[in-house]
Amino acid sequence: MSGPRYPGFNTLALHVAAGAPIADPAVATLEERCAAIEGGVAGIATASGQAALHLALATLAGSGDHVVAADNLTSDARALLAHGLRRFGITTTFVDPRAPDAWRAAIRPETRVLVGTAVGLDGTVLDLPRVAAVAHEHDLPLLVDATLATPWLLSAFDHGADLVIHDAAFLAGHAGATGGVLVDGGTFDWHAAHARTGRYAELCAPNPACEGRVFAEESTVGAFALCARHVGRDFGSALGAHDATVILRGLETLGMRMDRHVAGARRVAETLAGHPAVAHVAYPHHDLLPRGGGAVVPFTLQGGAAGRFLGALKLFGQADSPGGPRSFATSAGAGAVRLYVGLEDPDDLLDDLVRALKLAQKGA
Amino acid sequence: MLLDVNGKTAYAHTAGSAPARTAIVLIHGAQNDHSVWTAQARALAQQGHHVLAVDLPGHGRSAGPALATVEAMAGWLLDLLDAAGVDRAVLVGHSMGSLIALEAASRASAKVRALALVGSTWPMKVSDALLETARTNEPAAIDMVNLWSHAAIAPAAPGRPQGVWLAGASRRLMQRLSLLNPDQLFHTDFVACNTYANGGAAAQAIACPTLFVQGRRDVMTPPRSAQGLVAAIPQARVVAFDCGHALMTEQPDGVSAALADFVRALE
Repeated sequence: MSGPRYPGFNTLALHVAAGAPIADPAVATLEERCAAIEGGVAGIATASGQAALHLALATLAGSGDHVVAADNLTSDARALLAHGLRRFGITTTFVDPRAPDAWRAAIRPETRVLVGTAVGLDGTVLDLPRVAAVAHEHDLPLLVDATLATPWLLSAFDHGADLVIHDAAFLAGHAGATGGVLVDGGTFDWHAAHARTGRYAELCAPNPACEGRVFAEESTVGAFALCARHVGRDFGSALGAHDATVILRGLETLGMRMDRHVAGARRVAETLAGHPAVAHVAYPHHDLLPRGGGAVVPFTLQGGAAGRFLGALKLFGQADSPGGPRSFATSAGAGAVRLYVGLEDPDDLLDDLVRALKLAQKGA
Repeated sequence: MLLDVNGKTAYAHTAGSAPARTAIVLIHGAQNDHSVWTAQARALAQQGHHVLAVDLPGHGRSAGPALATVEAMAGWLLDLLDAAGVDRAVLVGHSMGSLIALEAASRASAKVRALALVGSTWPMKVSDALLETARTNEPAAIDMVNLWSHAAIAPAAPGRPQGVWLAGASRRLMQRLSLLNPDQLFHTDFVACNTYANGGAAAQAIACPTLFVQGRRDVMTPPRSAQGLVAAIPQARVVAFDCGHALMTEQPDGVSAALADFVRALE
């Protein structure tokens, strides 16, 4: 810059325009699109799926509060709940997600939220309507990790979820893509729950951290998202603009990719189910997922020869990483294997699997 | 703020503003509540105005039942001003709320300092098809109205507050109002709009400064259809924005600034 042509030029020249938005347009656009594709009211992009989970929990719970969570959450999520948040005074009871009575029995007066995963890595599909009913009976919201279900396969808010989190993997279409998103469904009535139980004062009473704003008055259906936006600033887990752009590009092909993931995963699951070397296949089939159970095929080998099987695979890579175009396989312990079915030609994948199963059988 | 209006609980969002004898009163439309005004309520409160963004009876946090006519709602609104100790008000109404503001202003000229009609028209005819859908299938009517109320279901540029999908938030708000008041609220509101016959006479009785705030792409209350109403009010001025019928959320800053300018010019 060659010096002021008028007062303030050097400074003003750096600005896009007076009143330029603070948020990066790519991040804000991603947040709106994720809210739209989930059928919710607002999204908040985060640095990872784990950060989205932390943001939701940090918004709703504090020292002395309690969480009821499914025992089939990802290992990172379980670690956050069992150890990370415990250090800050938030305790968690883990329950079998398939038993609605277990959810009910674990709820305490200081419980603030129920956390489940829509489709677990073990193939379990959360009975959303029943678990949501248990949550809502107790004036509690249901938070659901829908990473493996994706908004293409599951409309979580239509079936009772109140908050949804995603890791960016399937949204972006790349295994290990950076980012996550927390979506507020706008379904939970925080004001009514606060009036009956006194919980959620940060949303429903003047919030001293935010100039005394009362989020549940400002927004009848988006109070959680308004509050979480401020909590996110406290913890600094924002998503960068480049990562948001990558996810936005990926979102445009989500439907096509998921249909192909599902078509491949179904054929893989059928082939495995009919193979003598396979003891059990847990690929999800559920009314909540009319378009299919996703890209993950968990199964168990006869005789527990997972190492030999994995070593024999040529097309499947070995990694614990869903969401991308490439297929991976990983050991899930005690003869259990998890396949992440990518976008390759399913015939090629089946050849690879059948060949590796034969070798595993020979070794067994 | 909770008020007692004729023995029933009424709620008004103040956006943190302190009570005063003069106030800006924001009146929402059919199947909505005070929260459609949040951006404007905050902006006006920050400029030192006393703001009352009301929930109409049977909507949001105000006790029901919903009132069946615009005239009854206007009477209730004037009673609410008394209950809040307000003796001088700027009435700002959106859609059905604009008819309430118009009717109230025509009845109480001493109390109403000025009038702002956002997304307004008269007569406010509701098609038979929409009326029937609202009566028999409220969720479908909610989806229809949300589609028509926004210039774009997926806006080209991000909106405010950050991350909010406007059409989805508006839809969910209407669904929430259905849950809070399952008694055919949308149909009741639509019938009130459709049958309000006094608009012409009320407009002629308006002597206070009046501002029309219009969305150029509004297909619920198209600006063209409001020409008669605008012409009937002697001191009417019009500002227009590039948006649909949900002006307050589609153009939050523009509508806030238009209202602030309008109120400032009164002083």
